[in-house]
Amino acid sequence: MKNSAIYRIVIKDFVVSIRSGKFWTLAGFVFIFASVSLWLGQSQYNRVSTIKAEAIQQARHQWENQGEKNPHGAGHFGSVAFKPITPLYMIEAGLTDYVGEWVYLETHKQNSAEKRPANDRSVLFRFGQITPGFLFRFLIPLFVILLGYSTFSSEKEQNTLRMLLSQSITSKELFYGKLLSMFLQLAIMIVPVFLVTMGMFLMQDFSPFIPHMFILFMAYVLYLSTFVFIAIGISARSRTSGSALILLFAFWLISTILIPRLTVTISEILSPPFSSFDLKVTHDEKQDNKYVYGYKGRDDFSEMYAEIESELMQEYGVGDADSLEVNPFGFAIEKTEEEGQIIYDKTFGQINDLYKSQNKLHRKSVAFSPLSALHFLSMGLAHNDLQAHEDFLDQAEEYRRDLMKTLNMDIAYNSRKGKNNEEGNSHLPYVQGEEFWKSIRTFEYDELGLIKIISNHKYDVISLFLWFFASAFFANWSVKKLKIN
Amino acid sequence: MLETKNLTKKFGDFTALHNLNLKVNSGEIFCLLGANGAGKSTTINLFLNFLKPSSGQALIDGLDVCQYPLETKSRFTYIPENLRLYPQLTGLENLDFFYGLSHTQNQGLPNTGKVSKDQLIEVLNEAGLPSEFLHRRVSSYSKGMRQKVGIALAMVKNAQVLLLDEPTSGLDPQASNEFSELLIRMKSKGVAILMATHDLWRARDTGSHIGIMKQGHLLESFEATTISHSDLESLYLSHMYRHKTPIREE
Repeated sequence: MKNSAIYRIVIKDFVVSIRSGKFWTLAGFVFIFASVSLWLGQSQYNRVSTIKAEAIQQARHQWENQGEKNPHGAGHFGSVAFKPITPLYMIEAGLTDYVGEWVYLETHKQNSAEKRPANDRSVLFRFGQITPGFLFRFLIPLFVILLGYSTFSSEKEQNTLRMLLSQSITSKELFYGKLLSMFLQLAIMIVPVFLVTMGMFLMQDFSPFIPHMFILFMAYVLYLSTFVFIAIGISARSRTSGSALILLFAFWLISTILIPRLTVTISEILSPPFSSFDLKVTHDEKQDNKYVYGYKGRDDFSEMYAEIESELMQEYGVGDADSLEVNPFGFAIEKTEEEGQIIYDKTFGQINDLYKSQNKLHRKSVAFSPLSALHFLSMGLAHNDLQAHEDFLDQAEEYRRDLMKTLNMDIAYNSRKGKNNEEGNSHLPYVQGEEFWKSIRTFEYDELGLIKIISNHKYDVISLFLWFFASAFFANWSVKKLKIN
Repeated sequence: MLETKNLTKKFGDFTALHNLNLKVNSGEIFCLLGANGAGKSTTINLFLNFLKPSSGQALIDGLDVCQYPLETKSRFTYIPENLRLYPQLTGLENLDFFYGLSHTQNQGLPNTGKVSKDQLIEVLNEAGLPSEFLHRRVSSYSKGMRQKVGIALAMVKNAQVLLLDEPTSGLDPQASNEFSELLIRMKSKGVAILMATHDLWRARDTGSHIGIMKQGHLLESFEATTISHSDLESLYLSHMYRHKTPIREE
């Protein structure tokens, strides 16, 4: 091994890089930036997760201690579904600050997510957060460029390439020697960050997320390798280090900043978003008129109530409504829930379709920018991408429907003959208490599984691999075509 | 040891080298004289396999450099006009690096076993590099010192061939003289040396054979001992002035 040409080129390039002072400057910057961003990420994670845990506890306490009331009244009192954050939030903040953190769950209405942290922050927040994800996505590729732009061009400028190529080495040995030297320098920069993060995960019992963290790190390796290959390839093709640096900087600028932002703008132009006012008006109009075009075209609640009451009388074989063991109001109110759901599914379906349409356009940018692919994947792994948010909303809505059904069916089956029904057949005097409220499960968000995440992001994974192999081919081809002028 | 057979190199319509035939045996120094653009460096670059011949062959130890690039490169050391080494490394480290690269391919050749650091220092001393510079970075070396590292590489590599492209250009007289002495020592060890140079005096004193090139043609070649310094100068100048028009193909 020590006698191989590859080994000797690796060590020589490494020593040259170290002695030039460039490596330690960049490595020092990565160390400081990674330490600060991990510390900030951990603090932010602790703060947000503590606040959320307290809020969940408080909301549950309020639910259980809402006092004695009719279950339908409890439906109006409502409950709250909180979206948890995962430990990968400290690395990748994703959309967390821009989509709502909780949904208010009440009867008759499906609400959108509330509380966007970005709304509460200063305008300086727009400049972005310091996270390890930012370091890996933007800064380390830049450092890779600064480390690698002169890999071959400086050999040309110093004329050492003539000496190097007059030795009995193959272009393959030269390529792998240069490549491994770059990887060695990169590894010294990023492996400690990975190990420290893994250590933090293990110490804080975040072990369920270690596979996510590992895959995220592998994605970073693929992404950064792409920049290593491109730096080597362009350096080999360029006559001077200056021209190599300009070309590489242009690639960095276009792929990490311009393309991701350009596709957002284009997708908004092609699929304009609804204004929140338009959305509310449309939504309220549908809600107000739901009985007109809702269930079987009835135009008021009493007509529907009468129909359900009649059906129940038939089913239970009684001649008058007062003889029914069940309360038609519970069934009728559940029916209005189901009708409302159809309207809400349409309204929110339009919003989701819009988001999907915008997202679809935006995701096409992965063909032009490895950063976009990496960013989508890392947000997916951190459970703070659009799919995770939609999944949370779906689960919250499912819970709301289940909760309302539980309350409505309690009225339906228990209000006529159960406890607290001392004043006749009306549902209103019927009340439930703490024991019942406690029997209703708390909302718990079931996060997407790792396989589902990878499946959602298969095109991002494929894109990262394609970028990796295409850039590797380019670098190899460029080194093979090296010419002495 | 070093041979060209009808070696020709064309760049588009321009023929840089016309049917060059020359042979340099072991223990010979063949000096190629000629003005800029005469084809001297093209000949060296063809031996280095940096250029592909349009026709003909460049052979080292009987091996075609295009067909056996690694094998032929393992047999020679190349010293350009301005030998550039890695400025961040010391002379010793540069020698260790370049020797290491050749050593990896030289396993089958005689006297090419691994050498120790002490042996490398010994060779650098033998090549005349001042001992206080051994561990200094090459960025502080003069051109003559860098050329000596190149010669040390040839010595430690046990190269059978030296390809020199104007190696004394820009050296002060003392450094030039020291370099010439090193070449004569290499010659005496049986190394075949092909040197492109403008220095008529050095060619006459150091070379065993001299060839005069013009516009890609080898006009004349002879043994160095058969001509005096002044006759060589006259001959060279007469060739330079004689053919003002392009030389016809032979």
